[in-house]
Amino acid sequence: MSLKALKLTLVKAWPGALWLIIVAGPLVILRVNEITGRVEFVAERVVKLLVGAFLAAFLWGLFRQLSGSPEGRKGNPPPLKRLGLSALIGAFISLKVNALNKSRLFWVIVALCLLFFPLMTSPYALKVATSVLIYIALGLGLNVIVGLSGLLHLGFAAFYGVGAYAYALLGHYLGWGFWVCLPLGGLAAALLGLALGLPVIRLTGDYLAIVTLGFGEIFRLLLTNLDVTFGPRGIGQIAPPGFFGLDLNQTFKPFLEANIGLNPAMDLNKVWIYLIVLGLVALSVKVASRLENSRLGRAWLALREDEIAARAAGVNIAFTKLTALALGSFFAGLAGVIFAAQITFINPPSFSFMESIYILVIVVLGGQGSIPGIILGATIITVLPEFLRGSDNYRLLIFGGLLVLMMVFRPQGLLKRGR
Amino acid sequence: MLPSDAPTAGNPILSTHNLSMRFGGLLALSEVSLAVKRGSITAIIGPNGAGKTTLFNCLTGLNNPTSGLITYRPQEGQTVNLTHGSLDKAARLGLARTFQNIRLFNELTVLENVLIGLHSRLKAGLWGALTGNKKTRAEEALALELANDLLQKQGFGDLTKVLAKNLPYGLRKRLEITRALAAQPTILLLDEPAAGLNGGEAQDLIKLIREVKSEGNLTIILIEHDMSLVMSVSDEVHALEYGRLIASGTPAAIQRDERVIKAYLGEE
Repeated sequence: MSLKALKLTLVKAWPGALWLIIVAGPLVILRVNEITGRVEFVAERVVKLLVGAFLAAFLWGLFRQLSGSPEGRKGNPPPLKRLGLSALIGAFISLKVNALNKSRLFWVIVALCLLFFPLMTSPYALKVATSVLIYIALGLGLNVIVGLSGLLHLGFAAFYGVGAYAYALLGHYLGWGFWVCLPLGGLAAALLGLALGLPVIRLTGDYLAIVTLGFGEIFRLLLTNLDVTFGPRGIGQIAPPGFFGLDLNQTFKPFLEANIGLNPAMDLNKVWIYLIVLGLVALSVKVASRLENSRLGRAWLALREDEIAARAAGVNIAFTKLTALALGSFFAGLAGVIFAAQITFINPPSFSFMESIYILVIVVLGGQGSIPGIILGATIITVLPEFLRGSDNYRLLIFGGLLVLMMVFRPQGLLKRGR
Repeated sequence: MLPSDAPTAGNPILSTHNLSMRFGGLLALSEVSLAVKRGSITAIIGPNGAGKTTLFNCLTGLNNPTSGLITYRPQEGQTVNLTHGSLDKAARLGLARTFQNIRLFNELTVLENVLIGLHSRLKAGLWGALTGNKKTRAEEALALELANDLLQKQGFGDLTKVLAKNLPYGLRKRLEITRALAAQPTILLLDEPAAGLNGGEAQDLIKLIREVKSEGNLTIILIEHDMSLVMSVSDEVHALEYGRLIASGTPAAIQRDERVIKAYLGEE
């Protein structure tokens, strides 16, 4: 490698370093004092940050040169990378800087970006983004059960499946539409949550985990073996959600393509689903944060911390557990209906034990009980495998490693629940 | 129906009648009949293993007695049978308690601990929590105010946002009492409140007990080994030994009681 190339790498490292400073800077130089709850500025870390960022960017450039990556590639990075980067930047900025969290303008910008995202991107990236949102909804649901109430639930995918199958079957047999099935799917899941909750009110910890695990497997086996659900073949041709009876692709697509530059490969039905789930997630975040600071939310936390002390404070354990299970399952049911509409074909393996584990990982990775943590966790868990697509076989291995590292270095999750 | 010979003299707020509690082969309480006067401070004393905590657990519904009767009269003319109660029901009826091994919500803040203590005084249910309607918001604001006031008064001024597990021992004990007080109980049951406290902290505790008693229309029952505390604050003392009630009376009378002296010091 010539000296000139090395020089070039040195120069080119600057923009990368700057980017790193913007993204990771707040994480390094700001520290939350756990006693006072204030954000403190740590001056002595600034030098570390500058040197570290530059070094990292330089090494990355060197690595790219040595590994023979196309140097000086023109044009935009592929859409997925753009999505991943913007998601990560957005997540870090919104979660770490408290001042921004409170500014209304910031949230308006975030909302606009998310709303107009489909116009600027490819169908593939949109699909990934929709998945992220669905997993956020699932994570928020499971968070009520595991994160806030401390009930270890290993069969959560079953409730997700109830929503999805409710829509698919009601659509197939009765011809019911998306908007009728959305609340019905949620309610069906909530009722099943209650049905599971009643016999296990007295169980906690490992015993509850075993029961929920078994419950999830029973559900999947039922789906596989019943004729009504078309067994392992699954159900296809699930209708997209309606929009006032209009065919979206015929009505709006030519206009959007001509005037706004919509990607011609984009299916407007998918865009509509993205927008629906975006609205639903926004609503869920709102409701979830409200729940956390309510009498019921505190009862869940009390239940998690010490059941006897909670009872001594007058908390009705049965009611508290049942509402947690029902409400968490309701979220999952809604997510299931949207999942079915998005993917248009569902079969039992979509709701396997692994799926339950993925959702659990989102909650644990993000930080139990923390809503920003769940958003970050869902993004990582959904986007990371897309990056790792080449090494598909190692995906689970990498996940496992990630979890072990998490438990060693940050057992409270990436973003701890703030107060 | 109550048996006619239930101890009702002097209109006690809480009384037990022939209360027995058996754990397998162990008779933890044996035919204990006692009455707690309304507005009094009553101490339960006895050597380790005498059944004091079991008595507390029966009174607050954590355990249900094998036989016997517990009668609670929250107000004049109102009678509640607590014999087969449960911990949360007793709490909602106005019996707040602390535990011998402090039971705080460790991963929650001091403020959250007290807010949970307020649980039985608030009404918001699932619907209120989901919609965050006006009534719920007003109630939540009131709860915050009540909790903060109480914490200020109990000297937790700057510590409301600290996690309960990070408090020093003395403050943890105090927080548990504060949490119980948040429920505005009719009867406060303290299980060894002075255990592990140093001299100054114990003095503060005595002050606290006298204060809360004089401010609220509160009845206090406490289990305690610290005899100077028992003798200085209590109106009446009940002594237990091997699950039996061996003596009841004023502190002065209990100090002279031969069976109590025997239970504590042994025979010659």
